[in-house]
Amino acid sequence: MAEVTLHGVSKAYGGTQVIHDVSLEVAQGEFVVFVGPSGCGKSTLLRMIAGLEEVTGGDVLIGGQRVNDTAARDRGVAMVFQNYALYPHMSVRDNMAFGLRNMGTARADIDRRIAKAAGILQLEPYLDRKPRAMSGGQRQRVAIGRAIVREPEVFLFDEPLSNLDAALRVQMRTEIAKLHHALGATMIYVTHDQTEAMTMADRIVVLRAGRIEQVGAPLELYERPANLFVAGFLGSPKMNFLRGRVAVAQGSDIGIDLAGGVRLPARVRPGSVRQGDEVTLGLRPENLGVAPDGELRGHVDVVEQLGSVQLVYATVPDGTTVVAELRDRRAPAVGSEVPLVIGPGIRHVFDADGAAVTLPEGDLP
Amino acid sequence: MTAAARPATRSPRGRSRSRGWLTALLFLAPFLAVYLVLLVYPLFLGIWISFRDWDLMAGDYGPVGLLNYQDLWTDPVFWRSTRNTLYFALLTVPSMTIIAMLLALAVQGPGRIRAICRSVFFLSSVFSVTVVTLVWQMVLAPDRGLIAPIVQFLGFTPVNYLGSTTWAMPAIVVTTLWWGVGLPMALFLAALGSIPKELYEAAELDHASRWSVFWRITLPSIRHTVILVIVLQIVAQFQIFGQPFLMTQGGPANSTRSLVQYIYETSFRDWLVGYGAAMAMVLFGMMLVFSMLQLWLGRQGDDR
Amino acid sequence: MNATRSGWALWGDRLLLAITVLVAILWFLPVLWVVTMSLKPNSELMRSTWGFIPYPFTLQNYADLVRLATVPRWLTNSLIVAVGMTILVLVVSSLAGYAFARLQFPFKRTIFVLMIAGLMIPEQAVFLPLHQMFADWGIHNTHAALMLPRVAVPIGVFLMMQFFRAVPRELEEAAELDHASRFTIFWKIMLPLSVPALTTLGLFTFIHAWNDFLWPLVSATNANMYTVTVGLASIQGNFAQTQGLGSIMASAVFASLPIVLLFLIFQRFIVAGVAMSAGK
Repeated sequence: MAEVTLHGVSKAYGGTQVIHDVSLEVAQGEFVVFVGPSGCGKSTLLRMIAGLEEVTGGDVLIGGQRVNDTAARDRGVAMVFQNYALYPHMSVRDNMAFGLRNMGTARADIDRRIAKAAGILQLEPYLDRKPRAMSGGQRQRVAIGRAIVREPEVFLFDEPLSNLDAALRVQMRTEIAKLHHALGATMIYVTHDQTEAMTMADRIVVLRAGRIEQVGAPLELYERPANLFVAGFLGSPKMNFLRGRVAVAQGSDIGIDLAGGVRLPARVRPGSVRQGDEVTLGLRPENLGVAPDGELRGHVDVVEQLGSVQLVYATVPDGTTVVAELRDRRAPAVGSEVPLVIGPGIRHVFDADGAAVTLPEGDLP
Repeated sequence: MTAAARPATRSPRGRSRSRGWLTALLFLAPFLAVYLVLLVYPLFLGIWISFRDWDLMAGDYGPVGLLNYQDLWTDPVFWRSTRNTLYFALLTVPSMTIIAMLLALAVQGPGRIRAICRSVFFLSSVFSVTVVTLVWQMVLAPDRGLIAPIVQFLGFTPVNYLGSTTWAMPAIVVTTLWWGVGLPMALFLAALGSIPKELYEAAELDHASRWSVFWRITLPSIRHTVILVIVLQIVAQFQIFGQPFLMTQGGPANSTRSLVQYIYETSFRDWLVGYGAAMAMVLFGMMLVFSMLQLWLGRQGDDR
Repeated sequence: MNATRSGWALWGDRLLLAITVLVAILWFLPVLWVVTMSLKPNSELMRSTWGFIPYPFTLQNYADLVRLATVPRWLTNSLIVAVGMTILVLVVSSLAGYAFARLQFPFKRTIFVLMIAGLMIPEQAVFLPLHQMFADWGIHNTHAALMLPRVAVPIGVFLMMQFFRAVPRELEEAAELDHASRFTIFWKIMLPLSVPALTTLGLFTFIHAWNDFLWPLVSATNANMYTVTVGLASIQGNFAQTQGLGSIMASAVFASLPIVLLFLIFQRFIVAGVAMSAGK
């Protein structure tokens, strides 16, 4: 087990820079998730830690040692690939043993480690099977098993669940989380799925276009997104964004004028916006409801019934579609005009550049 | 996600990179050695020899400039051989392509019977040229062959095909077709197999006839393979040697002597290696054009 | 195309199949005929060569063949040359193919283009100088001389490179993290995975070697070193005499047996190989 540190790491292919000056500390035993849309550089960053991509700027440290010039095999990391990358001609047992044999581990030790990993992952009945005779979920377990037996300093996961179907993905998600608790190892996990990030991570690193947008615990990011991008990326359904203009600004209290003649109070860091500034108001769907005294009028387009909740998609006066998550079972009729009410939750405010100016500790008055 | 853009510079730099070069060299060394010694060097040696008076046994008598090439210009047998080679290719290539395509269309698809037919048509191409010529010399024999009784039945007099200036070349062409059709047929089969089934199903729903399905769907889908087969055949048939050499020895009256046979005879019967090498270079030049076409086509492929 | 078809189309299909079968039978007839003749006594063949049933039946032609030992000797030469050439081509091509597919080295592009250019050099352009070189080295009439020239042909390297490129890169990266050296990756991961490609390349090389004619004709001048292909050519001169017909046919059948067996066993790979060489 070891910590991983990135110091101003960057990566360029020829003239194109794909990773820009990324610095990050991953503590020993921590589960960190890199999340972002495709092309954001999260896999490249992971592969740079693994030693599969050259580092063109900055330093990568594992366990305090600079490893920029260390070959992948000598970095003490194990990696689980998106397509599993199991050796198709070897049995499950041989797949797990391959690395250990290359390192010259004693036979008895190899057997012991495989037995242990197979126990954790419930792979005992399959040890002599070839990967092609197994289901996707089982293959992924083997891939994880291959990482476990190496007893690495750091586990790296590159979108390991994206080839699985939805139900299996949920199951494997909890299993990987359990595994992390059982092994207590440092794990870095790459995904484009914000749900995976939210459910599994100790800390989430949100990346966009090769830069870190925000780092923090899942709830911290959910409740205090640093900018529009993070706010929109985390959470499902997405946060609703409404454009508006600052009508009054007094200290941390402001009033925002929205289309349709509605003025909403919000709290921001003092002096961060002035009267007349364009701002974006962000409201989580669960913070939006339907009630007779609602300030905002919406035209109901679609109602999605999810059982425990109903999602109401409505068009508000400025033409944007907002989503409200309702918990009572009386959803409004499609086509009707309804009053939308804003709940007691956080009203996120973003300035014209998209940066959050919401008052940190400020819940509503 | 960056797989497409990821170049191959992956291993960490510095010391380990030069070790990477060394490893690559070890992997490449056996091939490079044989390639340079047994293909590249001989090619240039051949060009050099073609400018010299070189005897098979006695060796090099010194440079003669362009004399070998000038002699070619006035050598009637060289021209005759070149003409024969081109005539042979002209007869063989189109018929081979068409027959291969027809056979492929006939034997493609499921079923044991078709599978056996595929094997039969391909089987003849694994025989060596000596076996094939032996078989066909027998088949074509006027007194005890397989063709003679049929010709007789049809009311004609059997001829000694291989001894006739008119029929010897077509006889060799038929032999070559029987021998060589397997490979282009397999190429067509591969191409036909990669046409999406949905295309045919859509045509079926559109009430297309068998004929229009072939012209509108099948042929356009395999057009690259058709061209590839033609080019491959041209390159292959330019190299004709064994069939006339064994069946007619180039006769009668030089009517089937091919370029390669003339090169062989010039060098190994008349010992004029320099002159033979000059001819080989001319043949090489002729084939080069089509080989380049083949390479270029190999990169195209059908729309898949 | 198993959709329901109208009656006419169905009969059309059956008619086409019937014609195809008929053509296939005609196609096969010469082979059957030669086999039949090889099983008939020479005296019978002098009377008539007609017929596809070996009656009167005899194995005398084959017995003579084995007793005289020339044809078995040529067969042995062919086997040695074909097997040796196949092994050499597989080793050389897979090593170099891997280097081109996955390794980094200076002038990689240039070397690759030079290799591709080698595909365009036909045997006829180099067989004279090669003959001179081998004469200088004094290695004509050896098995090595018969094998070596074709080892230099780059098509195998090209095919193996194509194959290795299609192997997912992650597999090698996984192996790299598993402490495997380059050679271990090649030997334990890539080679086992490329068995189908190696089989195909091996088969084609073997068939090529077996049927090679021009080079063995000029290189092996000693009748003891003939391959079976050249050997058969040397006895075709006696063809005019009717009395040897049965034994000539027997030698032809005998000479083709290994290659036909190989074809029947590995058909699948041969057809796959054709598709592969088409630049897929």
